[in-house]
Amino acid sequence: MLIGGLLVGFGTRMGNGCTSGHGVCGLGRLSWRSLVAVITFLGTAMITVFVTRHLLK
Amino acid sequence: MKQNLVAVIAGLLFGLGLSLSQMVDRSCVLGFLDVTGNWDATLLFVLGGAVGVTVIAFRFVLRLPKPVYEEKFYLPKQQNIDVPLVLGAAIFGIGWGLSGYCPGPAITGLILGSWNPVLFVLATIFGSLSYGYLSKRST
Repeated sequence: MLIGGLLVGFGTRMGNGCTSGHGVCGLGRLSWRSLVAVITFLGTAMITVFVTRHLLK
Repeated sequence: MKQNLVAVIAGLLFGLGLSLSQMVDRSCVLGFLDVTGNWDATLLFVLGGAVGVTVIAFRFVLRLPKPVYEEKFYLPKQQNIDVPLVLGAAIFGIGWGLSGYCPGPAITGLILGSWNPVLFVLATIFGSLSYGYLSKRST
């Protein structure tokens, strides 16, 4: 939980947005930066869940 | 004053939406991210529904000369896709996949009685501050 929070805080600041910022507001403004961010974080999040749920168990 | 009232109402709506849609439930979020397992597509409709609303609403809102309770619109100016954007989003995704929380739902979940959102939000603040510290030092 703490590591997850750290990474989310760091990543949100570095990438200038989170699920709401890029995902909802950015895509709503049809921003290319936000589309790239959304595809990137959905991708790494899905890979992380795959690793933690299926590879490490 | 009216501006603050609008902010409170918007916050209430946001929290209500996140709760009703189960975004505050980390097992629901992890189920959505678990595409190779027992995939729960519910949140795809949550994100899709939210984006549908903003795509339509922003068309009208951004056509106004200025916001109703503010002097001007504050919009992101950056257009280019750079390394911090992609790397930051990638790091964010790993944290999201590890915890099942992103900032909005975690803050909404603070009062639900579990320590998870509390720990998560504290760590998020620390993570954000540490990026601020590192980027200030490198320039």
